[in-house]
Amino acid sequence: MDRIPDIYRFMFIKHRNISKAIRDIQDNIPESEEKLQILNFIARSERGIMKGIRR
Amino acid sequence: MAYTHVAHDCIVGDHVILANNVNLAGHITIEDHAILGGLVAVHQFVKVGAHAMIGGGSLVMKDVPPFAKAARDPLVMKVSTVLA
Repeated sequence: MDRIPDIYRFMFIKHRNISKAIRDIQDNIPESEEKLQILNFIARSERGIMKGIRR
Repeated sequence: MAYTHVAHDCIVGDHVILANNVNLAGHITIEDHAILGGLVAVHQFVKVGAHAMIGGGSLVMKDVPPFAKAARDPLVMKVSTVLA
């Protein structure tokens, strides 16, 4: 559960490319239910994932 | 809640909160435990992930991943102190 911010940090801050972010997430984040859920959702997405981060 | 519109072919999961004046277009999937704030409008064929939270007055044109917190138009991830 505490890995969720790390996953989104890879997606929205470190990478602008979702494919690269997914590869890094799979390599660097330990397996968890939340990680699987997020990656499965992105894989199934038809319209694409929302972009951007707001500070 | 009040004046919410759910159009044709929508799938709304368990324990979802749709605040006042939420409008869902057709063929939308809202997964379990998601929260949509007041006056949120969701474009057709969009999927909102489980435990996602969308701030009031937002226009959702793309999928919102699970556990995300998003708001505004264009829809962006809201940064918490944990994520920054």
